[in-house]
Amino acid sequence: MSQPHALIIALSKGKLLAPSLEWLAQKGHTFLEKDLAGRKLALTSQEGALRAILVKADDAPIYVEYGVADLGIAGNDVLLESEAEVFEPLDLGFGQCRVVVAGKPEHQKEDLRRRARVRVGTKYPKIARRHFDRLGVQAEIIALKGSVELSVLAGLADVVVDIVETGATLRENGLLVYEEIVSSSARLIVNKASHKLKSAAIDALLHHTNAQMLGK
Amino acid sequence: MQLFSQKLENSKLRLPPGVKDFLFEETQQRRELESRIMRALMSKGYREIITPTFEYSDVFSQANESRNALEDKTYRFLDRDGNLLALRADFTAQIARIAASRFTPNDLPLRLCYSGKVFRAEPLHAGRSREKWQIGFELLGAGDVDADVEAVNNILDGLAVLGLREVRVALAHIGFFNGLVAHAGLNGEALQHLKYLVERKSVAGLHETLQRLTLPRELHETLLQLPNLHGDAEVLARARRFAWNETSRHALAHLEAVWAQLRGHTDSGRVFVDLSEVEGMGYYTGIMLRAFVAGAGAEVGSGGRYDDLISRFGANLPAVGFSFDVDLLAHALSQNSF
Repeated sequence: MSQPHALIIALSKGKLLAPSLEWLAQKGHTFLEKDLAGRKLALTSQEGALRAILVKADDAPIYVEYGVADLGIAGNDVLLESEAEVFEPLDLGFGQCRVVVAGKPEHQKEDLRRRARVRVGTKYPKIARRHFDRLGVQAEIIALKGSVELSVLAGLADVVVDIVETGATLRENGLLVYEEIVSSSARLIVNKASHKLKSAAIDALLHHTNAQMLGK
Repeated sequence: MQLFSQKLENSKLRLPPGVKDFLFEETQQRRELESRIMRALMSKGYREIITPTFEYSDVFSQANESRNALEDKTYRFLDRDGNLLALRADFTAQIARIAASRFTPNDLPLRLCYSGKVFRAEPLHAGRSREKWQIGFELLGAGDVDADVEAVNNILDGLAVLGLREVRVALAHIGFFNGLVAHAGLNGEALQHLKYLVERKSVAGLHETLQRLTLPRELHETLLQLPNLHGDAEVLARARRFAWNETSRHALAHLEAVWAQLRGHTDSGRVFVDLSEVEGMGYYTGIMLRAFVAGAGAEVGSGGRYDDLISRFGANLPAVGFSFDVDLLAHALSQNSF
């Protein structure tokens, strides 16, 4: 049974889910495996103090920004792309990856600023736009949903902006990392109103890890 | 859902993004909450004024001397004579102009309130409106602790007359942060970015950025602690060891004095301190106030002290003000019950 004032946390489905649940378990909030295996979208922790809603990774910041969830766990890459106005008091350390610019090896040395137009294939149009604007590159951002490496190989784009973990996918496709835009890891995010109205409960969840991190 | 008109392809039915029509119940609810808050303010001696919907753009730029986010969001246009006009982006700038031109020292302290729309080209994000209905008050010619306490009481009373129970007003003071970074030699861009990271409470972002800036160790450590400096009176005590210069110390002492006078509210948790709230209107000089209620995912109102603003219009007057966001309050009320 959930307690009347249970905090609601939006958890990203996919690869962040397992380490997220592990982190929550360390904080004393456990979720049953049989609940997770089912098709339920909202789960209550065994202890009753936390309710979790499972959402698509891209959507977690939105649920938190609107305040439907008090808290959430989302990758920094997703946060930067969403531009959601939330607090992000804690770096959870897992889910590490880098957002990079990559392309064919033969163009690596070329100064993209000299070009009248650079086509960029990406699933991160806002991150890409900000990056190339900052550099003064006249980029034409092509927002894609699927495998972006293909956009370079097929001649749609000159470069891609994408996340890499090991770099294996890029290598397999014969692409090279030109530069890193930002490194990413999972962040605990907090709704702005919940931060004030439920500060005691949220701080209780946060406090321990923060102290560890600062002591490092 | 059945719609009367199926002609959805008709572009004449479209509204520009960020503006809305309100029909009967929603209009009634807004009028009701407007009259309750205005009556509460008037019962405390605040007198209503009406300001123009547009005026010379200078009034708004004057108020935001330092480049401010609001400056980029202002709707500007030319009149027939080629003068640059702006739609009202902010009541406070207009009230500063009015205070400097229409009143004399005999009128002080001056208590004004208003209800109307501000127009801001907000990014189309998270359902944000570009036409915002605000109800606000300004207390002019009073710069003491009592004036800031009165402002907090006005906010809490305004929320109480709506029947909202789960409420919290967050107190901050821009002087605390300004004092910390005063002698760090940071350029405008670096300072802006640090402010953004502190406001976002991004400890990870601060770690990364501070590694690139070579700041005094003391300041470096304090900035990393800032995101955790929120809570009750205990936070003000804890923050004292970070307040190593006069500006920061004065800011903390001021918040402590305000806190002490709000005893009835602090005991019940209706007042809260958050020293990591550092972003606000460019003209804030002292206490900064934000109101939160259950059922709204963002602040339902904000305000602060602006002791230097009116002098830009020619009269040297301390002042504090606050405005409620009518749509967010209405949303919160419909989540609860009105």
